[in-house]
Amino acid sequence: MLGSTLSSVSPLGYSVVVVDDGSSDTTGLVAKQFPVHYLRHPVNLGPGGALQTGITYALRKGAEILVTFDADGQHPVHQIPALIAPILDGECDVVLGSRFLDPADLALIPRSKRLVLKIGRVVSGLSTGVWLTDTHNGFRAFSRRAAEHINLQETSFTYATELLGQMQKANLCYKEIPSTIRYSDYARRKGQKISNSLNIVLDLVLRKVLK
Amino acid sequence: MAMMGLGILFVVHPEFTNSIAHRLGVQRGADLMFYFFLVGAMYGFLILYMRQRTLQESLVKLTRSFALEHAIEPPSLDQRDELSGQ
Repeated sequence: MLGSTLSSVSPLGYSVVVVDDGSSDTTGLVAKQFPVHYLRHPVNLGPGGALQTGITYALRKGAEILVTFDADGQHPVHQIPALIAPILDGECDVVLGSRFLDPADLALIPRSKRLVLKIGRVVSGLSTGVWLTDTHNGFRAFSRRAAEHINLQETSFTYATELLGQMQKANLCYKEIPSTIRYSDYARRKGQKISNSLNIVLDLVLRKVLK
Repeated sequence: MAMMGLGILFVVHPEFTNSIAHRLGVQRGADLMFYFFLVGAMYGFLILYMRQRTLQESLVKLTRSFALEHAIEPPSLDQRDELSGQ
């Protein structure tokens, strides 16, 4: 999956950072076949942990705009120019992809996923006060200024809510744009399940209570 | 140690727990012990949870700094940027 994602993003001419989150397969070998920056976590941290490593690295390398997307081919890398356009225009600091803005994108979401995503939206909205249409969409763009305000402590999927909280705290201007998600069988298997969303709620509650 | 001593005392003289329970409005000493156990277990759980979080944070820091230090850069990035005119 990584190979085809990198094949489609490489011709676009961006600097690409691959964060290998402690994988035990051939991810490293595949990534090294492409002109990308390759970082490897010796142990698996989770999506939030990998995202923050990528952001920290890109900032150190002097990135002006950062785009994050999953390596499994579910995010439309050809939509990157549309995703970063509002940042280039100075319209806002963060642009977030959403599956719920275009009815055509919405139709592609499996029914079971819709419920999970809606739970995620409500939990994040209640917890942070930021009401997005699609909280757990990994296709995002940040200006450098915005990325400097992001410091994710949550390594699991709970990071999506933490991210919104930090955006809110730093008063970052954000915008959602329609983005298509391609649900391959692989993406379906790897995605969140209802049991995961319950864990996320428990995690958030414990974190809030124990702070 | 104090807890252990108290535990031994209550095993040897179970009637003590009954009298304490009656004073606290609980019918049986065994019930009172169960309530104490529940509170203790919850406290233990919270302590373990906090420790686990601290440990997790250390692991994240360690893992991230390792990944950042051992990052492999694309060998021909500059040439590639020149070619693509960026």
